Amino acid sequence: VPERADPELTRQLEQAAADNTPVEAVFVLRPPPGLAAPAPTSTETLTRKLVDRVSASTGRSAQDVHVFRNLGRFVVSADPGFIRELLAQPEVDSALANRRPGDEYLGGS
Amino acid sequence: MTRFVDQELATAGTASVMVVLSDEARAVPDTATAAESLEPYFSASESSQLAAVALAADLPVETMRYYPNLGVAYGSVDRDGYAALRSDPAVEEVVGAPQLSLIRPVQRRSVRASATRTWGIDSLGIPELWAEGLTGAGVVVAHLDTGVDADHDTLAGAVSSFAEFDPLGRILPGAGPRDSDDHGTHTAATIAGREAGGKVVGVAPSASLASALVIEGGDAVARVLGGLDWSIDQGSRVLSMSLGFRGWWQDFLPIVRILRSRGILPIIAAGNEGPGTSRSPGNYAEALSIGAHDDSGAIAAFSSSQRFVRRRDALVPDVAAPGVNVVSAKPGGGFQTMSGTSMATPHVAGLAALLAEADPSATVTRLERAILASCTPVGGPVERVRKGIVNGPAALAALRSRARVSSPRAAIPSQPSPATRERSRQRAGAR
Repeated sequence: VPERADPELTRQLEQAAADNTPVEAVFVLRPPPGLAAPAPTSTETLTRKLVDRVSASTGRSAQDVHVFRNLGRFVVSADPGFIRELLAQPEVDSALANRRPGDEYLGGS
Repeated sequence: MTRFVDQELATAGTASVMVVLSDEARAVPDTATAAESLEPYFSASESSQLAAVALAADLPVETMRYYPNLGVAYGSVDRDGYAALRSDPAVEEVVGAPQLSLIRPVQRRSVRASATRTWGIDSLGIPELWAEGLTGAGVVVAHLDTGVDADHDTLAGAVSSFAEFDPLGRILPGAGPRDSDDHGTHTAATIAGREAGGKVVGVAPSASLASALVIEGGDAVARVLGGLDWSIDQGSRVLSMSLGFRGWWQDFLPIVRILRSRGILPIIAAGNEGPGTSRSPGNYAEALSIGAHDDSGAIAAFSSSQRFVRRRDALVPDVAAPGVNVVSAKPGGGFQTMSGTSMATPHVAGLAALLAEADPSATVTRLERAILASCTPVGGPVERVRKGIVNGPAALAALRSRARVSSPRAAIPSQPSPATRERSRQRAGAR
């Protein structure tokens, strides 16, 4: 797994590899120079292009894809091989696990 | 992590732990069987997070929850259970666990709202801004929380849009406003609660709320991203977010920068774990981080504060606002008090809405600087807040002072929009 995956996603990918269970990952698209994120329309177009490209190269499809058009990000639920291939795409800046161990995303501080 | 388990056992008698199964236990096809063999070691403590969640939802109390994809079990143990788990060959490691769900405010109780206004509103000097006709009209505040009871008397007409998000950050079709807890209704009414029965709990009682249910049940990164993404489309000028990861977690830093570049001031709670602690994204220099003070002006003992090694905004939180014994709306009707930086955050978000109404062209940076400039420093031997305690009239004066300086430029038709100026500023690397 490229270094652009966060350690938790790497761990989940390794864990899921044995039985090919789906993994959920949030992907960050590489922003254009000087900008925090690609434009909303670019985010949608690029996500579709990446998912199609990886589907074609792996012969598999994602279970779910959802685009955060204003944030330059998208989330994918797919088997580990699909996620790894997405991570290898040059347009991807980084990725992190959607589900965190122990549900560590906490509210109400 | 075991140090935290030991501390929790010493103080509470039980501790929340995560149990990582050994490689051997995880190698078997049905890892749940191995996990089930550990169940007797866990306690069915009514004070455990699992029990709290189950009791709140009127479900049977689990003693343990197993995450098969992770090979990790979660639950509450006493000393004997902890020792047994650590010596079990199916267990690789036992570590302290972050709390499972919403961090409760440090105190809450139902009350009858006796005063016409809350102490927090008076403490901020908000009535002076109301007297000038500023009530937040036309300003949308994004509210990411446990949802909202939009039928509460004080919130009638306040929620202009609502969305509930699934763990992949998708909007649940047809989901109407609801509160999965009571936290969101409380914070929503502090921002934009209307007058009801002669009482006002909202700082900006004409502001509109874009309320997103993103926590409690199925907590996931994408769920919060979904709410943030959606809030941009709602035309929000201010974000009020009383949630965060314990410690430093940098993955939301670009998101906060995006919000600012889209003209949204991110106002985020610092945390309730006291001095030497903080939460992300509230501890980013790019967030307006909020601590809590009481009605005497003292920083609350629980209010997080932490110094970072960085050039700007090294001390978190930036400001403190009313966050102790705050009266606000309770789902289903009535009122309750809560204490926490979660309660202080919507006070500042409400004030930001009033300022945004006062100067609709004000950039994120100008709104933020006005709030920072309004603060009265807090003395004391321990540094607890960077700028001090927020004051509404002083913030308005600071905003107007800066507006007067910049108004001739604003009249030039080719002047970049606030969003463009904000993007240029961020490209230059300034805050």
